[in-house]
Amino acid sequence: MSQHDNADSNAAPNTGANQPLDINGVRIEATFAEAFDMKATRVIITALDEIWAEHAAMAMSGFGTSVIDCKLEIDIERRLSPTQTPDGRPGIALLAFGMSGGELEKQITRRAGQCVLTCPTTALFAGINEDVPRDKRIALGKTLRFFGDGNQISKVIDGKRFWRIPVMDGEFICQHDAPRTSGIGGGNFLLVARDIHAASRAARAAIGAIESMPDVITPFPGGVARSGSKIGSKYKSLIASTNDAFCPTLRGITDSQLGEGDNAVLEVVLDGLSFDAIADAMRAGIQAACTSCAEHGLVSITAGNYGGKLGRHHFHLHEILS
Amino acid sequence: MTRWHLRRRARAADDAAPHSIDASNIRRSSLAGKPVAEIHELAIGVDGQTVRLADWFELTIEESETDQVVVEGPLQNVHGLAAMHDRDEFQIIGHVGDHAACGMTGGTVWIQGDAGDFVAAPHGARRSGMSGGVIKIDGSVGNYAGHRMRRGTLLIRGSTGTMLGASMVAGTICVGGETGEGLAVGMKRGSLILANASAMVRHADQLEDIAKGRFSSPTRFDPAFFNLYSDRQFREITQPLERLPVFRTRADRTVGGLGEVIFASTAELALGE
Repeated sequence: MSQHDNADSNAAPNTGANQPLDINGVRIEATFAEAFDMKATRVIITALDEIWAEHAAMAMSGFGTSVIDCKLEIDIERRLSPTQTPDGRPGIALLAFGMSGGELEKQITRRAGQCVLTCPTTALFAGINEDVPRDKRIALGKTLRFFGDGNQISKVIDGKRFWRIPVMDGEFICQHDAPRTSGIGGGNFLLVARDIHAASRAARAAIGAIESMPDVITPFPGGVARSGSKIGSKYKSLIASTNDAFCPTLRGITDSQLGEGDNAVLEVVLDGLSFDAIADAMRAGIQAACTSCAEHGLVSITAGNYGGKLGRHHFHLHEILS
Repeated sequence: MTRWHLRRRARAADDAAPHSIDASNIRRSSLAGKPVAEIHELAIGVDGQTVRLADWFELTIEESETDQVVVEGPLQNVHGLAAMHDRDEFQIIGHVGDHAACGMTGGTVWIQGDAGDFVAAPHGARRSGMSGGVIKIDGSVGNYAGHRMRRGTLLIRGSTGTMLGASMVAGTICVGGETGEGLAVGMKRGSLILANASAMVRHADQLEDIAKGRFSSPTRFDPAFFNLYSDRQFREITQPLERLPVFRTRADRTVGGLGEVIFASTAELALGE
């Protein structure tokens, strides 16, 4: 159990957790975001220039918002200068999270094949330098090499295996595999605002503060989800459905947590390689939103949890911001 | 970890008729865990006779961060040094004889001088040559360097004799100087990287039509994978390829032609002089 495990957090919140807290007049609710364990990896895409690298990264991270249906949560972590990449070219680091090692590998391999192998001038590398057992490594070139139809060339350089796969613009260089590590998915906070303009402005301020931070991604479009979900549904085939407690249009007919005048809510969902990475990003995002949007209609910040039943990682807003 | 320092004892008789020493028993795995007295008794071959290592080499042992074998002295007629080397470093200070680092499987062999024939070739009657690790040679090498090489990297700062990369199966050989005749004969896979291709082109031009067919027509090539090498010696040797047009030819087509020879086009080559 990690030091952040908090199985009985509802029963015994930390001292001070229920004290009123506001930032710049924005109320911070005494609640917590509930996150769960995931499997994660980082890959680096490089290319002749930033434009091709961006195309490949956007394609690879497309349809990678939620494991609920995408089976993978993946997004750009940060842009890399030529001095930060294995082959000295401009690059982009992506973080990817899956519910199991097998699913993570399946999705990464397919996306690498369809989105990076296909993109002109690109190369693909592991972005984590951990010495992990073979069964905890995700196949990259190990699988993609077969596209070379026997003409692929292997090179072991400084103990790492790379594949050179002939393609029509030259060679696609791809590292053999990438280490898999443990990650945390489902960190979140909700921006409750007077209207969508205020919520949108606050969300953009929050994402602006988070996007340059290492070891964390916000995989939804623009980093933000409007369709926050609860577990389960009246329809048996659905494992998740709309978070009615935070839907302004359902206020009055469901058990709403919104007050009068709370007319728009947006959610920032975060996946990270560590508890601290997510906590730091939540702190930066919330502070940026509160600092820049309190006077423009941001009312409160809250978080999504499932009573502690879903995940063992609990991010208490008051603790993070204290 | 241990550092074994072996210095070859000088013998006046060597000047007239140098002794041929088979030192293939001097390898990390043979030295590791043995007390000094036992190492002194290690068998080496001199002119076909089995003798004690201590009769020909002076041994010093000290603590080290990694296992390291260092051999120095007059070594031109010492053969098989670093044979089957498996991990960490084997350093040879001075010019060394034939079969250096033959059959090595891992680690680094650094030869601060020239090496004779059959560097990185198979050891004894084995089928495969070097199968892992890195060999760095500050000087030149003789014939059959990289013969039947299967994996690993061979960096040669100077020039090579004949039959470089002959029957090579895989791996990378990088040469800074000129190369001799018979380059890439029977090469199945692997990479030859030549910073100076004048001799190769000259020899290829002299071949009969059938033999010429061993090589495909050179095509322009972007050796992007060079950027993955951080090794200083590799970067230094391949420097000419960073500023000149680079070409690649596939070899040896008589055995499938999946090997590659990567070389820079100098003004001399471009003008056909």
